[in-house]
Amino acid sequence: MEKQEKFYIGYELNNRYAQITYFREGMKEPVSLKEKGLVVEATEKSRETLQHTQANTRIETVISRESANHPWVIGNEAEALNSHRFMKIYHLYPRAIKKEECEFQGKTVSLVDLLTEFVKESLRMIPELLDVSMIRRITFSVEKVDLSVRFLIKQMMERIGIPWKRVILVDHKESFFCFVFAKKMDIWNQEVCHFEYQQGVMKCTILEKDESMKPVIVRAREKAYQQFTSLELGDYKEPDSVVELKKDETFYEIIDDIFKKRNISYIFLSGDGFDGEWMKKSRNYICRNHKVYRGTNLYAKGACYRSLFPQEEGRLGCLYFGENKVQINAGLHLEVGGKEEIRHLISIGENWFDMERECEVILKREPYIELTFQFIEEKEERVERLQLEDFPVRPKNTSRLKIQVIPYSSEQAKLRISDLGFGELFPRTEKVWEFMIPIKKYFRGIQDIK
Amino acid sequence: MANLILCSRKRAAHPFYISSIGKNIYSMEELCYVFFHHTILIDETLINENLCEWIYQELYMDKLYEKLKELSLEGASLKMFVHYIFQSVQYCTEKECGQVLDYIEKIESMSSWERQKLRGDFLIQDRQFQAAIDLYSDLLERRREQRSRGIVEEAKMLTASVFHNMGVAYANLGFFSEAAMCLKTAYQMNESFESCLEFLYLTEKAEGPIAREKEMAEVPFDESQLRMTLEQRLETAKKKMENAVEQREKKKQEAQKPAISKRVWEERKELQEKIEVWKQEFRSMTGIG
Repeated sequence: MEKQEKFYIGYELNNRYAQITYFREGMKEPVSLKEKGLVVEATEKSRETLQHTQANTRIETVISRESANHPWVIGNEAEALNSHRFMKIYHLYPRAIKKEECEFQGKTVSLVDLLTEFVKESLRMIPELLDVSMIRRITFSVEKVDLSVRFLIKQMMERIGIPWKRVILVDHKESFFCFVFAKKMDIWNQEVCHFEYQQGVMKCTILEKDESMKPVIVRAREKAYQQFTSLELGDYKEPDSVVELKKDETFYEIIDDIFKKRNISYIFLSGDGFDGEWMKKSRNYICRNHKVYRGTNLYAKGACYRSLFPQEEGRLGCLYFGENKVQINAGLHLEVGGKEEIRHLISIGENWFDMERECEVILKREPYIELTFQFIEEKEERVERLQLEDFPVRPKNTSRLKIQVIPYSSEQAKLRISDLGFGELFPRTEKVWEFMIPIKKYFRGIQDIK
Repeated sequence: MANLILCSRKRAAHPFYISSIGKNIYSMEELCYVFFHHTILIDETLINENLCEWIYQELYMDKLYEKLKELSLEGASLKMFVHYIFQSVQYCTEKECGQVLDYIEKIESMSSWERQKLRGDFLIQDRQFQAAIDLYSDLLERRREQRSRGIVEEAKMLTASVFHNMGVAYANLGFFSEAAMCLKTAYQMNESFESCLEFLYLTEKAEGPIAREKEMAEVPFDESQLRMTLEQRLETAKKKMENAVEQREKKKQEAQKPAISKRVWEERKELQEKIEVWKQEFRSMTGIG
């Protein structure tokens, strides 16, 4: 069978489980994976005003195997193994980020290796995905992205054999935006709200639009409600019915407060905290004049939509602006084909951890480079000249420089300039110049790293 | 005006060796640099099938490769090849490209003998003395062959200038006897005061002042003028030598200094001065020391 790149995958990874939504060319809608290759229709099925997806699409991040000669098993299959005979490793993702190691069947194994095996096995569950080379794009959605998460995902992708250029990394909030954005545009008439209730914590994310900007900027406002934690854990003497009543009342108060302040048209509920029948008064209130969806795989689905339409929002004049987004355009003054040009190194709207660029240039005259900065909401450009101190003396046009932008933090990027010399004609030195570039709105100048 | 030029391609993993300058190049920018600064060396030994293959296999410039192949089939001039290579990279300005192309046109209109001679002269400027001697020797060998067949391609003055420059190349390598012989032939052919002067100077370097005096008696120039210029020449050479020795000593001393940056050196000096002040204060306060 001919192997084609035709799979677009959304992969949610969190502390307890993974969820996969995929789209194969020819399908009408993305579908979410249920363990052992069963799939469940991911589209919302209407049930009056409260619509939800019932299927369990979660794959617990647990791994085990019978012996070194047996294949790895994950999720339910691993859970099914006899606990007395076989050791199981749980919570792979948070432990892999910490680079933990553990003893398994008499050997020390790294959690990164185990999580890699987990991801590999979980991808094998996707029907008709014969080889990872058939994956055109895969988007990982995690709670929070930082450099260690990025490094972990990159490391795993290299081992599995998926080129990094086909991988996208987003946080849950961005996945939610992608999910909402992929829905019909009427969803955007008013604000969209997502309640996630998991392990005693309720979080509310509201997507709000700033239509004064072009493209329209969408921001995610998030708030965590601690009341539910104290309700669930606070007083064990109280009967369940009383706790449920209090939860209903508390949730009612929260939504009442939100509805009074904001124009909400769509509400999404997710997380196992909403299981059971405790929502009564709040349910009636929430379903009044709002469309409410309940699902478990918003993030995986959103990630799958991101894989399908990586640049779609920008094209349609809408830009998600979360906390990971860069608020600055930084361009390098260059001569390209005899014409002056500004080549963007950092672009507004990209995630800070994706800012990995490099180019090679020839220095024409004095040892400096010029960068143009433009901040979001500002029309004026600012030009900064970066001096390369103690630069080796060479004739004109005989110094080749490598310019790299390296992700550093959500506030700053590192600009590294390395001297490459000019082949054997003018040998390279080991000199490197580094500068810190602010990538958020408040510009305090470029910091030279000595 | 932008201070940077965007490089067209990444550097090649495997370099292209340019024998005429004895160096490897790794990029199109380096190739253009060679074209611009060593224009006289552009010939079929540089622009050939191997260069085209390198451009294709190492720099992945398919379009340029196809164009160069096409030019090769058409038997295009070197100027055309260089023109397309310059166009594909944009390393030099239009004016610089124009200068190179004009020069190529000029040298393409010269006889092969003149071209080779110019290459030899360039190699001397580039301090590649042995390569220059080899090239001049080839030229003179060719001259002998052609003369034996009755063909006289080059002018007498041009041949004299080859002998003169070959002498200079030998002198730079420290072969003063060979150098003096070349200069003698040169001045016998061109009867130039300059060649004669160099001949006498090198004779003294090779065989001493007596030999020089003997040769001086036989040359057809005004002896006093020759002697004065020669004295000046020897004096200048002596000063140069002294300067070179001094520089070498300085470098030796520099090399013995610890390898620290100027900034660290100044900081250390400042610190030492501060410590000296503290020491004095301490001594005056305590009366110790």
